Amino acid sequence: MSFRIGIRAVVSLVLWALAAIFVQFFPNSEETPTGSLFIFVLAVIAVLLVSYLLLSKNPEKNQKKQALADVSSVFAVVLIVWEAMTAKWRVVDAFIFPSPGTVFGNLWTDRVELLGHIAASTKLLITGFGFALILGVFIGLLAGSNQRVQGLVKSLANIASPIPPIVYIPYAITILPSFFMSSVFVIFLGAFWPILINTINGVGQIEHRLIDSARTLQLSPWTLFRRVLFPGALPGIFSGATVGLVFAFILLTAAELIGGTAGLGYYVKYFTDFGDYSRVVVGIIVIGFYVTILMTLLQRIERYCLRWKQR
Amino acid sequence: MGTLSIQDVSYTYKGSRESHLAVQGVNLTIQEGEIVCFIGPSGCGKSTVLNMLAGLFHPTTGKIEYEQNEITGPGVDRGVVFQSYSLFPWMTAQENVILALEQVNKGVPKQELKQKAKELLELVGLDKADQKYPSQLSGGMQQRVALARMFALDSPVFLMDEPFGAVDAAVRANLQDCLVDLWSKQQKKKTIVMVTHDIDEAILLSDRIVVFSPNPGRVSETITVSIPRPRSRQSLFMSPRYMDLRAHLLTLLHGEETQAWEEKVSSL
Repeated sequence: MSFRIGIRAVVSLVLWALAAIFVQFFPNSEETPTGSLFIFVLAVIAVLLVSYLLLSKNPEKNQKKQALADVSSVFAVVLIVWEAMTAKWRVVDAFIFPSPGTVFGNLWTDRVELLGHIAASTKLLITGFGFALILGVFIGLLAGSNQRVQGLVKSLANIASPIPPIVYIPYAITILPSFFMSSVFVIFLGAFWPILINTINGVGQIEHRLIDSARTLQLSPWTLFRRVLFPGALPGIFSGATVGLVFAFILLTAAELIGGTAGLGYYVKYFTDFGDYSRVVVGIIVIGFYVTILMTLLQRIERYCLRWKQR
Repeated sequence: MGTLSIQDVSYTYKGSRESHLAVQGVNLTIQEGEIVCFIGPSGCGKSTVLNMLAGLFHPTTGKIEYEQNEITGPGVDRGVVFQSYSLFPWMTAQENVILALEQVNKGVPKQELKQKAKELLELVGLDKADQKYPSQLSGGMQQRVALARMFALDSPVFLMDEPFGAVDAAVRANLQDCLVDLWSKQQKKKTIVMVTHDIDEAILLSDRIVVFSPNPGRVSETITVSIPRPRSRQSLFMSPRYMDLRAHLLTLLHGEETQAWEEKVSSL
């Protein structure tokens, strides 16, 4: 097992080393400013990361590390091909396909501005997703434990949830007083339904005997809610939250593309209008990292909250 | 007195298409401090009667009284243990016991409850596993925690639905001893009603065995087990009284099958 991870990590390591050498020491066909040095730094970081994977021997995490080593290899190959087709031999049009050097150079130049956009997006996301989470879980638990409420909520969900929330964006911007409120509203809508439905299903999946067990202990309704229904529905709540977060993010960027004055979606839209495609790519890369970090964070929280489920 | 009295009770399961008469005309009185086992083939309604005693089901006709009051729902005066899924999987062994303690010790500080839970888990031999989740415990250990939780309620009546049905023979013997041990240590003896399909278990534990028969579920016989306590497995299994009782129960439970099998064997 540890031998296999060794091989994969070695492959990744070699690819990143190649990428670094290729970028730094192979002659460019065009001028690339600070960028090529930046990529070199990036490649060195990747090499260090992969060496860490190579050296650590934690059998429990092997599976994950193998996957990580493979992902890292793919990134190295993408970087090499990208660099070859742009900075080195310029096979594709320079205006729409910036070289990695230009992109990462701009990423570095815009770092402070980007942090501001990340903060703006996060504020919208947390507000909209937070409301959806609180309301979705609360109504979901209520509906899960009451047949009548469940019937009503499920029928409403069947009617309302298939409407793609994106279509509300222009109207929401018109009827609500501020862009903040209208985007929070559509983010809320995007995340609310999956969280609600999954919470109801989560309650439904609690073993019937456990509810009986709770009844024989004569738990008060509030204790039943807090200590049985809520923790019992948590697996469902987390799968709802995961889907909900993805939807929330799609709607966040969509809203920013349409009517924002800040945020990651706005950043991409703004530079598309100016035809500065290197910065468009910067925006896309940053969004990719941002979403990855968010999802990883959510997974961590899930793993902690559902630690009783392991094995 | 703490008498459980089942008066002409029947129970019908109402399905979406057809309903099914599970229990018919059961009359039974269980005295305080008695250990009674319900035994019978599957589908004989023994678990249904236990669920009605627990207040989880309501009799379709007839009524069940405890201390002259009709049972209308579950209550902490009757502790319940199921074959599985009694414990909440998201709580540690200790938290499960504490939850039960909280229900009957309102306003007692948490620290005191923790100490009490520790003592209870010690009684069932699980003080070292108190921070473990049920999924980290074996089936036998889970049932020990369930026993500890039941005793945490300190209710006068314990209802158990095949509590040791899902564990292997050695662990089962161990759990039976654990239960009898806990039971005999109480100054005021608990009433225990247990559903089982294990004849040996019924004889070992019971003061009385109630035999159920199916289609529809009803009581076919009530047998008093007059073997003095404490009963040790070894001497019990050798005693002629035990053998007679066992033979009698075997014929009652699967009479025809046994006879057919014996004929087959003797014809060989």
